[in-house]
Amino acid sequence: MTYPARFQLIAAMNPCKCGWYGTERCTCTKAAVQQYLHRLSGPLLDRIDLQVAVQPVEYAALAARGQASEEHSANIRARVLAARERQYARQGADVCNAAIPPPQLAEHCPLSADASRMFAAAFQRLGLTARAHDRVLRVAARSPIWQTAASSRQSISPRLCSTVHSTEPRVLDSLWKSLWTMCINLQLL
Amino acid sequence: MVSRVFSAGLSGIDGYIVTVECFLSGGLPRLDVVGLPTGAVSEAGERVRAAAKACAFDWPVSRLTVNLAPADTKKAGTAYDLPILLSILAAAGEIDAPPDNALFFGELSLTGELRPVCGALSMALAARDAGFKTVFVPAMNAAEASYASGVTVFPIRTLNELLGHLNGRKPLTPCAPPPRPEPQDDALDFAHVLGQHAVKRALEIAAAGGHNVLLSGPPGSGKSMAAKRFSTILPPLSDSERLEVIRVWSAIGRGQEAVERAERPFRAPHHNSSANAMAGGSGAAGRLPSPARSRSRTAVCCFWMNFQNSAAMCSKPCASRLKTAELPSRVSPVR
Repeated sequence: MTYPARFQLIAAMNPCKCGWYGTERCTCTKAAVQQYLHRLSGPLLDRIDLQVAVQPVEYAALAARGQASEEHSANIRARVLAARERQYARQGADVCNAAIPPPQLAEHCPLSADASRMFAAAFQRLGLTARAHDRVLRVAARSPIWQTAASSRQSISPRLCSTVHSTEPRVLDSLWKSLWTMCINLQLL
Repeated sequence: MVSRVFSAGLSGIDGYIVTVECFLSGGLPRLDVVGLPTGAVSEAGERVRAAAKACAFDWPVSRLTVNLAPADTKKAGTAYDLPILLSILAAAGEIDAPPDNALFFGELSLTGELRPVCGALSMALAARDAGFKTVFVPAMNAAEASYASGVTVFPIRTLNELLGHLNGRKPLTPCAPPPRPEPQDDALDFAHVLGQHAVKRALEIAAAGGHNVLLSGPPGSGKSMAAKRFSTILPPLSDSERLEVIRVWSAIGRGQEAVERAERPFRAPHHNSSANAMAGGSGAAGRLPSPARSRSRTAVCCFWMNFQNSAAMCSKPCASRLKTAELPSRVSPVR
């Protein structure tokens, strides 16, 4: 028996058991952090395209409640819809970026020479798997929102790879942060 | 005399055609339903007899054998009440044999009224695929069933209404698929999330491209708040996705609800949910995992808080569930 089970997953977690890893408040031992992170399996993480290190909210942002205008869902949704339209026009009806079949990746997700070099470095450094490689390309696929199709610069995704299973006990989010920052700095998003 | 009426059953979220045959013979009056009926199907006789009497039909004083073919698959649910009654009345000569190009299903009340059943849309789709021209469904299921294009769906409220239509005295009007409902203004809005522009941007990319997202951060940083608003920026369901969603909801008897809602389903399973719970139950005691809980899983956005503590997603077999829709099943299908 087969049930349809296509879903998009939005998951949330804390970086360690006390939740404050990376700040002075954290009381977890290194081993405890490792143990906590190990509860997520590598194969599972490998299937998650966007892994975001969330920072605490700045006081300024909270103090500006009511003054600063945060963007409304409707505006964001309009951009999302426009992006979807472009994706469907490019890739076929109901094929969003995440669903691009592997044979068409090269056609729909071309990388510029710069982007290709950066991606090669990231691939080595982060130890990306073949699946992660394809998923990065799908996220980056002409970066539907911030990049016009005509632009020569292609984006590298903020898919930040888990180091949980790497030999060196590095920490998830420091690496995430660095790659995320790299992407932002290079204005690749 | 043997009569034959066509009906449909439900296997998972797929419908399949069931032929209901009735044979009248001499012997002590009794009613036997064969063809592996389970609980509610074997009780159909009591409902059917009362409904027939309520509609002023004579109950045949003979031995009645009702066969639900294919006879080697288990039948569940109450959808066979109506076809069983029609086959008995036709076999007894109380009514003309129903047309061969029509399909019937529905639960009967003791007063002869039709009650809704599970899986009406899937059954209507199965009828269309098998080449039937018309489907008679309980009025409460008509809206969802009418999404099966290519087959005429007649809503029926009472048995008499159906018989009046079949003998041409009081024709019914077919049901047209209701228009897509307008999305309602959501109380949730991304404007409520202060700061966190990187998170918003990541969620926007994810919404546009259909990517999975993992948010990791300290408590109180707005992860859940942002994730809960994710559904407000998602594109609307495409027609085929919507059909699939309605089919799944219809299979658990909530088709009408699915027809009336415009937005994409959003689920936030408890972080202690087991893999079995996510798959719709363990399938114990001869039952398959029901799509009841797994309804959350089609064309949906699924928010998982406290991801790390979830038993369901930690092991590799579960990771493979992320990519495949196949559910392992060791029990024989209940249809």
